Amino acid sequence: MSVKDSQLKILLRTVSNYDEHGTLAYAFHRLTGVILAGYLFLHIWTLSSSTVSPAAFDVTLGTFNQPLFLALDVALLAAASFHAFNGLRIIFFDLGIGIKRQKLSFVLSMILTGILVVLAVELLIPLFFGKG
Amino acid sequence: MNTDVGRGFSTIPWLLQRISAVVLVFLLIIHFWVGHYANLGTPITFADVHMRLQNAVVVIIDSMLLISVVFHGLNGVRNIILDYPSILPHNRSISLILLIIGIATVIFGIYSLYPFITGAGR
Repeated sequence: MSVKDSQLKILLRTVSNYDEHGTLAYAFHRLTGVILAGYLFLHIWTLSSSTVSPAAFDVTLGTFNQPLFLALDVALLAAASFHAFNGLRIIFFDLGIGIKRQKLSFVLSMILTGILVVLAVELLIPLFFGKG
Repeated sequence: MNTDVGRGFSTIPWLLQRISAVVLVFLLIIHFWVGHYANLGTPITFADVHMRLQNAVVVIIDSMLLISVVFHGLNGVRNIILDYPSILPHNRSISLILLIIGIATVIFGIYSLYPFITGAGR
């Protein structure tokens, strides 16, 4: 295994071997990072409808209040939450805090993300089924 | 190891990535709260945002969010490129392209924010 392709091999090995928590956290951090970076540009682009007219902006934002987009907002919250919790986990490791608790803190990141998603879904349920 | 890369070349982006990360945790909580939670179920309107952006503090917070998130996102993309030299060899021109994309995105973001400050001829 050469130095050049080692990163790719690590990533491929992770997908086939989910016992490696650290590498799984790394892969999820990458995946959510790429998703969030892509979303950022879409987000700024859609909000730029404000430069057309106030009415155009209201039409665009009205579209995003539909159930499909609210559900996608939950997926966005999940990606952002995991990326934030795992990012803080990385910063703590950089500061020398919790290096011996890497597996526990990864599981904690997942649990905290799960809690936020459940809370968000709970908030959305009345919106989905209340209005008809 | 690539030894012709200056020492500050990777350390400063590394540090800024962590600083912007901590800033983003706080600013995104505010952003999600204002955008989604405060008026749950009602669409965001131009008039609402226009009213909110009359406060200079909100304009500063939104601009800080824009700058930190664009830096964090594009520096993250750079970090990924650095990890896969066999697919895309890293060099200074890639960093320069990402820098130009970042500056353009911040300018475009502020350009999109501007009608909310002025009210766009309402």
